[in-house]
Amino acid sequence: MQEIQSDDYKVWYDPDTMTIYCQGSLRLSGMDEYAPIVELLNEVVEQNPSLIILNLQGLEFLNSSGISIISRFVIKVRQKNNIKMIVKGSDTIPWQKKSLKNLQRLMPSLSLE
Amino acid sequence: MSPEKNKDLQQEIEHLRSQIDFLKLEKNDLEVLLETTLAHADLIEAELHESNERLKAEVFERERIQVALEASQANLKALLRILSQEKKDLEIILETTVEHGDFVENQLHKQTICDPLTGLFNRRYLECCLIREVKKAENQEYSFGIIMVDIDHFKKFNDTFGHKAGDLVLKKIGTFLLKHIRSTDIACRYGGEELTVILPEAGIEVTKAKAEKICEGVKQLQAKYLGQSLGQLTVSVGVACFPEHGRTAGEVIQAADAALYLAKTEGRDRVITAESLPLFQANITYERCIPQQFLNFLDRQTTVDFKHNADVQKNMTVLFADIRDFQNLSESMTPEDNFKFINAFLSRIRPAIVKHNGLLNHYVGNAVMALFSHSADDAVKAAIAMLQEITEYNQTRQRPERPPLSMGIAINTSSLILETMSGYTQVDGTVISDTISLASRLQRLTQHYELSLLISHYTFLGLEDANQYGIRIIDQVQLQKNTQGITIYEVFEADPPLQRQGKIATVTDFEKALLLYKIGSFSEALELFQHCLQQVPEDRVTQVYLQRCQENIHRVNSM
Repeated sequence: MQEIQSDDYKVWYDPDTMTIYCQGSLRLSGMDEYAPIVELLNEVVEQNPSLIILNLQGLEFLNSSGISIISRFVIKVRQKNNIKMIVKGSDTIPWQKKSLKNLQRLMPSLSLE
Repeated sequence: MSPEKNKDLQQEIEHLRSQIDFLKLEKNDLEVLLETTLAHADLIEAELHESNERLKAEVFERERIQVALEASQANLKALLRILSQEKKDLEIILETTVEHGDFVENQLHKQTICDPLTGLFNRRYLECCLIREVKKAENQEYSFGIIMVDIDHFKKFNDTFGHKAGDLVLKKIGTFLLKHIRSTDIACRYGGEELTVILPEAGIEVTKAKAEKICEGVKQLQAKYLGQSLGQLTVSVGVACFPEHGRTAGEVIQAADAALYLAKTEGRDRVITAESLPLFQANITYERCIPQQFLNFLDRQTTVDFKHNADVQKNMTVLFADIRDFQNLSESMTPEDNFKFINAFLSRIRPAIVKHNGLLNHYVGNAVMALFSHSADDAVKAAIAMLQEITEYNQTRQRPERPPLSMGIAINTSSLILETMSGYTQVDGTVISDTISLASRLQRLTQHYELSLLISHYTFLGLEDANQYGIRIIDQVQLQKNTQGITIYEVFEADPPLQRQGKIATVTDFEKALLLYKIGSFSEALELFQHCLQQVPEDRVTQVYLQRCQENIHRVNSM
């Protein structure tokens, strides 16, 4: 599964640029609803790429369950030990300025752009 | 050999033989001992050997366990490391999620209380704040002010320059407001082009001054849209304060709104405070003859909800009651007993009034006034209930020095126009006082006719179904010069059963007789009245009319 789409959001992986894109407004209720996205993320990790870029520049809104999913994803990447991770965010989206810094606490080698 | 030597030798041999025997015994003993000892030693050795083997096994076991423990410990250490890391991770995730959640929630909350265009609060938040401000006044002296700002000719902006220009003007004035209020003041967008400011802890002077500043300041603003100047901006401002201009949040807002409306009608670009409103100026005279309570009572019964310019017609029914011959009664009691009596009396009749949506207003002495805004029927039912109460009470009062009480009640109705101007209600005070004075005059008539309950034709017409009560016409009276005649009706529902039956039976004849009397056929009227009197001998009204007929016949005859 390389792409998940709905009226509010779109999540997809581009293997050529090794980037996972999250766009729109993610407001799913709980782990059950996020399961497909979690699966997509896990699949990328399983492929053991040397680099994963997580592009959130188009993610306008993210709820608490969503930030939790992303945090767990970062841990998974860290546990693999030899995957480099970059997270791309946007200065104009208010929540990103605050919350993305916490991802670095989970994985110090993560770069935030 | 000598025999002595032989004896000696024999003795020695004997000795030696006994020694040998002894030694043999000893040897035996020793052999036994040795055997025993050897056997014992073997046993001990065997035990020791077993013990040794066991110990060796134990040591082996212990060493094995030690190795296992060390392995286990190493495992646990590794597990601990992993769990610690996971705990740290979870703590971070938790913190992240909570911070994120708080941030997003805060953002969303701001959105619910703010107006997206101007950045000011929205109306919903304002209404919360108002309630909070009024609550502050519950336990202490407290005042706050309201400034209502309305942008002049706003529609013109939209029509001439487009909605975006209108938005720009709103934004500009909104920003201006924010700059010129205190940090504790609450500015909000109240409507399309209306902005409102609450000033906590501000009195009328402070609020007015701020309003003037705002009014003047807006004129200095320069608004440009797409390079084009939008002309001079002006605002109309209404000012009201709590508690001077209202006792509830709604009342103060209505006062400010009415003041704003006045500002608009008087030419815009100005500040008007609620003091200038006619109702506040007339308030003093109102209090004197009309209970302020009643205005509130009426107001509360009307659902006035920030509507503009709706005139509401309401029916107001006044009930007047007193105890006949109260003068004599009160003179026979001590002041204390008088007081107790009045209170007991009021407490008896209050339930009857309240049950029928009435407002009881104790008038003077034993005279009582009650006001009803729902329907005339309410008043009539209440009056009947009151009379029944008194009848019941009389049954408990049977003592020679305590004559039974009798009560006379009159009811009058009129319709009021509640002018609603920008949500603020006004009432013509003369209508109220006229209605009340008419009711009180009618009440005096009850004494004259010795009736319990009289109603005016206004009330009669206001009844939903007059047939459910025992009613008959009594008379047509003119209580004041240059006023219309009033037809009065008796409601005899609460009469003693026999009397009531009698009146029901004779009502048609009685009213026919009245008609005859009115048109001048006194003799025929007299006949009918006599017929009625036979059935209800104690009917004072019939007696009065009989007398009138006789007088008139006499007068006609003597002409």
